[in-house]
Amino acid sequence: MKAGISGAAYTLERQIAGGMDAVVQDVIRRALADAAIQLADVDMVITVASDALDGMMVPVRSDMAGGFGKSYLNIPSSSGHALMAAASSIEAGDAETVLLVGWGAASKLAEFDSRTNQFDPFYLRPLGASVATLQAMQEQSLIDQGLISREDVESHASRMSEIIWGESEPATFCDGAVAIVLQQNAAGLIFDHIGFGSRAQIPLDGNLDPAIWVEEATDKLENPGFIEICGQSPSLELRALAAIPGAKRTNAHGGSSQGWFGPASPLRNLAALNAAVGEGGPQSGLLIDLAGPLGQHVTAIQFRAGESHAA
Amino acid sequence: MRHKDDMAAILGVAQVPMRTRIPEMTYPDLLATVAARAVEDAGLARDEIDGLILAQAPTATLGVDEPQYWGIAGLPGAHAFLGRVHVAAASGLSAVRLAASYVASGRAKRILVVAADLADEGDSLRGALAQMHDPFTSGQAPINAITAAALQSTHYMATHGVSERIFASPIVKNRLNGVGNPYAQLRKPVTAEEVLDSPVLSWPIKRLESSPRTSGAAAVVIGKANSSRSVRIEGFGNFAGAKPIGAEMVPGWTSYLDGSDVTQAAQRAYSAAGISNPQQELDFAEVYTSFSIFELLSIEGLGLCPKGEAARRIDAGEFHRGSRLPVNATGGATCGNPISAGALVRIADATAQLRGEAGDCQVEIRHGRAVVTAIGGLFQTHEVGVLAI
Repeated sequence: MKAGISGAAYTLERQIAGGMDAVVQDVIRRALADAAIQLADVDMVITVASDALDGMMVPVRSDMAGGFGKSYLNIPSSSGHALMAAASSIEAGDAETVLLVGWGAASKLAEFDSRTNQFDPFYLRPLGASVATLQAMQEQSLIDQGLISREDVESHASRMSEIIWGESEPATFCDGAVAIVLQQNAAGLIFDHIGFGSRAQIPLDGNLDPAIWVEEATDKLENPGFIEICGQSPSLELRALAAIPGAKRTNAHGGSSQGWFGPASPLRNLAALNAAVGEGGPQSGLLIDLAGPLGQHVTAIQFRAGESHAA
Repeated sequence: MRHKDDMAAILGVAQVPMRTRIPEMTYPDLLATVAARAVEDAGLARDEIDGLILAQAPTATLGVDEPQYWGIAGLPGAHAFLGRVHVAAASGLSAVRLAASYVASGRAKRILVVAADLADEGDSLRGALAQMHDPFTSGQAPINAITAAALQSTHYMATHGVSERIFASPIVKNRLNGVGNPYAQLRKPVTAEEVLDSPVLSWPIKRLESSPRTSGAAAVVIGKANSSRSVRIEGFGNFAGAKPIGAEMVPGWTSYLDGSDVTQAAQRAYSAAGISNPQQELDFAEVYTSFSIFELLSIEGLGLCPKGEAARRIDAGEFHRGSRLPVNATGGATCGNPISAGALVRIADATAQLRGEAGDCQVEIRHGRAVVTAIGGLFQTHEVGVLAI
């Protein structure tokens, strides 16, 4: 029996005033209410908390996410990885109800871009590459190959911003929190297949085109019709979309390049998709999480509506 | 209890000799070395690995955050990276638990779990670790791993009416065990007096009660059993324990201090493995001992002896390598503690013991069952696994 979503909630703002703990606890409360369960019914908590974007020690993360006394995992690498962990734990019988929690206060770090800490926190390794420079390098490479144009990128960013924020002004970083409850026999999204594809930070073959990586991760998946692609940059999302030519509806929830608050950002899209399915939206589809500055860690999540949730 | 055929198993393990510094190797070098050896030990080809988990935390010791972006290229299974697990020093065991779920659920077949630490990368390991508590300055946090363990030690002394001398007992035992372990960093025995006379780090903890600063690496391959050397994962128990000290002022809230969080994790693992009497059903225990107090609380929390008696029993010869139920027969983290890889080292050591391949450290295997533990944070997140052959 495949695991699925029985409740979800999220908060997304350009900047959340004050600390994140109350915001995180609020989305947990709403997700549990959506699933019609109590925190006591949860037997495993999984957090998606990156090293660089929150600076919290592990037990603080666990406690803030309602993990006290429960089985706990922190999967900082991506939303897709954490979702796979939650689904597998349920399907293996190691947990009945998993609370998946992610958050990030990226706007608070944007001023000095502490994300460069991902490469050089305090020992001055001579890597010379920040997230911003890597993304610029990738975008220029894709433009040079004629795979995208700068106009395409700007247009995509404006369209995604319009969906998420109701205005076309491109975003930098924002703040957000997401909580998702997963169980067997869930009414919401069921995850039939989760595919992966990964490269090194600088791929060994020198090719920075994410379309290749997405094609590999979606190799065994059926063309779903509906697709949501989440990456850190608009050029990344744009190019990844090109890897699935049959897609009819794309990024109805805005992807994540214009709503980026950390590696948990695609969970926000998953929560939004879950709500849309319940309201008569697409009954199956594909969410692609492109984690890492180049989108080099791809998770392709094929979903369908649970029986009682299906329109 | 899961049927044997449905259980995930440890197919292969590898570790490197632990040292203070391994200047001839980079972090990716270490990962690649143990990965290749573990796959070979599993009797598999590298292309038979269909998933990779990096058990890497804390990253402060590496000098880089998010190491999955640059450290995994070329490793077996890297084409299907399944993520990084970060539960501090428990990461290795947490990652093995997760890999076992992947295999048991059918979402993956054979997963490689790897971890490495180069503790000599920075000038100050304590300074680096303090960043876990205070990420944006280099200031030392008032509560860190040492001071938190000291708090537990004084609580233990007051509760059981014992002196600080008892904390030498596990160390003397473990250091003697480490002499026979070719992977151990510290291979010289010490006396109780040497332990007690070593400099005080945070009273009552002495320097020799603390694990050393260690570089090392380990890897484990998880899948369905494929040979008589495969070690079944019978059950796991995890318990996210105490809140950060000072977060709550609740009278009677002492689970952090008295080790009852370990008991909770152990009960979950024993329940999954169908163990009702651990003293009678286990052959040995590999427990996380970065400080002496952790071994005492773990032995008692695992139900291997009544509370307050662990040190006395060690002094009486119990839990030694030649005893009925040895604890840390290879020396454990007392003799080498690469923080990220430490829990995988416990798995590698336990697997070697169960296979009868532990050389001079070999214990008697009668039931074919063992328990391993790991601790994340400041004795807060507890991971307990039951292995069997």
